[in-house]
Amino acid sequence: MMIALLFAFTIQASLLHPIFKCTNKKESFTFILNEENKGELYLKKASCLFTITSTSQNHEREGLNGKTLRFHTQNCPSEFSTEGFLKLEEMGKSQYRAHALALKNYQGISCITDSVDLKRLKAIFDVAR
Amino acid sequence: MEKWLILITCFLLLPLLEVKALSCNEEKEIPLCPASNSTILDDTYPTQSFVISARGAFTDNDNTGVGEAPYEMSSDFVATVLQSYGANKPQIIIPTEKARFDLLILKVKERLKLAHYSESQITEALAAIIWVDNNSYTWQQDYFESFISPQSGTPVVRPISSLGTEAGKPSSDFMSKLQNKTLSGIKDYSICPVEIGSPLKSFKDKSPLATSAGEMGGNIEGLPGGLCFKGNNQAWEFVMQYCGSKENVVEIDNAWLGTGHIDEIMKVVPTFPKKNPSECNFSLLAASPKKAFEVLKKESTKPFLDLSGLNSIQRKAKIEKFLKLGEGVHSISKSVGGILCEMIVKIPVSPVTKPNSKINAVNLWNILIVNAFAHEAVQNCSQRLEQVTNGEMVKAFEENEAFMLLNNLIQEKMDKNKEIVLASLKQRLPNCTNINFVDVPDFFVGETFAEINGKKVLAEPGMAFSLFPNPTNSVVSNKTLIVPESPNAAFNQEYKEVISKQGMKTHLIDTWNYAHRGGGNIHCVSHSIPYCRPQDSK
Repeated sequence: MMIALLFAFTIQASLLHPIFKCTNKKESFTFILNEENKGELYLKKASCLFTITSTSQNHEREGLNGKTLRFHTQNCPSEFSTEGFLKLEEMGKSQYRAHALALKNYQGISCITDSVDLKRLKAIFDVAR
Repeated sequence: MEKWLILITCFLLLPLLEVKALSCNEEKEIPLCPASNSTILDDTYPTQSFVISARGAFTDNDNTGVGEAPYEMSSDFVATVLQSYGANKPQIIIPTEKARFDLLILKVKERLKLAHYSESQITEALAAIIWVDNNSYTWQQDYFESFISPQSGTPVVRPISSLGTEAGKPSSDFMSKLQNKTLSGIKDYSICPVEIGSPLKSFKDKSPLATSAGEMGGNIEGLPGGLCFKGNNQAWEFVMQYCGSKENVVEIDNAWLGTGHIDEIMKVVPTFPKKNPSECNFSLLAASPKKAFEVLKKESTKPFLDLSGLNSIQRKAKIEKFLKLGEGVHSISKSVGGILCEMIVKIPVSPVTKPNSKINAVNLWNILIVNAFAHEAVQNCSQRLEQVTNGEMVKAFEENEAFMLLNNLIQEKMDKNKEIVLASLKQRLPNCTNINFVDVPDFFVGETFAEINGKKVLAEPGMAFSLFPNPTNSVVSNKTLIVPESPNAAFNQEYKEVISKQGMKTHLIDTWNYAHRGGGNIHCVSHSIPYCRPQDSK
């Protein structure tokens, strides 16, 4: 019984825990990839749901440098772009910087990792390869 | 006794070896190293050796039978380098597994035989090819860079720390081994001396736009006059590791590119015959969507995809090749063929331009319900791809708002970049009164725009990739420029004409599966190691 509960708790925790979350505190911007194909964007008090449309590699064979998620937003407040992408950069010690194109009036916005489920994030790109 | 004999022989040969090593860059015709203290040379300097990839990004499983079996591209590349030099051939270093190397050599031999080389000439030519035991890796340009020691003019190869690594940590196991083995191989097997320098540290944390891709070899390029390119996706601290001083740095805007390398958009080429002043014998190639439109319009009735000389099975296979996914251009999960199809199904087939073609059911379908069923039409687009003319494709491009916006914005960026480079070159080389930029046709796709005050601009970092193999991603091999072949005959003709005006020959290589589908090209799969004569030997 205890084992079953623990197992259920672990499964639930992994599902609730986002795959990737990053924040730009100065701009109050947050990117959250909740599941393999969807997530949320936050800018101050506004928020927006997005769906991943494709993923891509770069020249690098290993790691996450240059790996990109393209996404599409729908019915979002006017400050959000309808098409965007998130491009990852490894910054050391499991820290990632992401360049996101998600907001109007920004040529791009960078955010720093709050949390990452590396196994699930890498799996997204393995599918693309 | 034997040991003594070997030692005595070595002792007697030592002075000879030293003379050979010292004489590599002492001849008067070798250009002087930059006086600017920059350690990176531009492509007008002579090449001591080439490092060439033996494995394409998408060739190993290519069974199309059209052009690119696994060793076609690399053997063509190696054979062309050998043929473009006379007696003093540079060394060609191939980091790969032994079996792959042996097969490559067989293919090179076949090519040299076809070029009417005698057995002894073949043996002599093959002696220039050096095997370095290593994993095969497509992007030989990216994981190290070749510089020089200003004091000796000797090449200095330096590994790039940020490739496949987390910043500040040693390289990942695969990349670290790849770097160590290739660089040691270059040093150990080079006839002329090569030094291994300190790794280029990553400084991508110093600038918000700086990326690991920005720190790769394809983005570390020299300019004449002892200047260096800097992309706006590189931190100043990174460039200062090799460029001597800030005054040598020419920063251009390239962060809008998906791969993010200057070699995708600009290329220094030497010009022949050599004239005085000697420092002015160069031109620059620049990628240009505007030129691409001009070239297509000039040849508007010709087929957009060059399938000449192919039988029906080969034609079908070549079209299939365009419809295959990859990386790079395909970051939007579409093949080049798919991108073209989406555009051409929106234009009606013109019976006027094809007097011999019947309006069949597929074409009529396209004419009647173009946009509504575009997806289905794309699935059946192979025939349209075979038949579409340059003029029709121009129309399809012009009717695609996003394509036009992207290419117009890129042309604007390129025009500004050219102005910046020209101003710096003119200031540095006041004797060069006729510095020339040559536009080469190149379209881009991967439209992702940022919106600033209601106006669309290129996103940075961006996702733009060359639609067809980018011609600036080419390699200077003596008086030949090795250029990726375009699927469009008019583009290929244009490359040949403009390169011929620089006094160089053009050799086109089909790189579609080898490099283009992976987001790179000929320059990306190779590395030239140039050298110079020290300033104090004047």
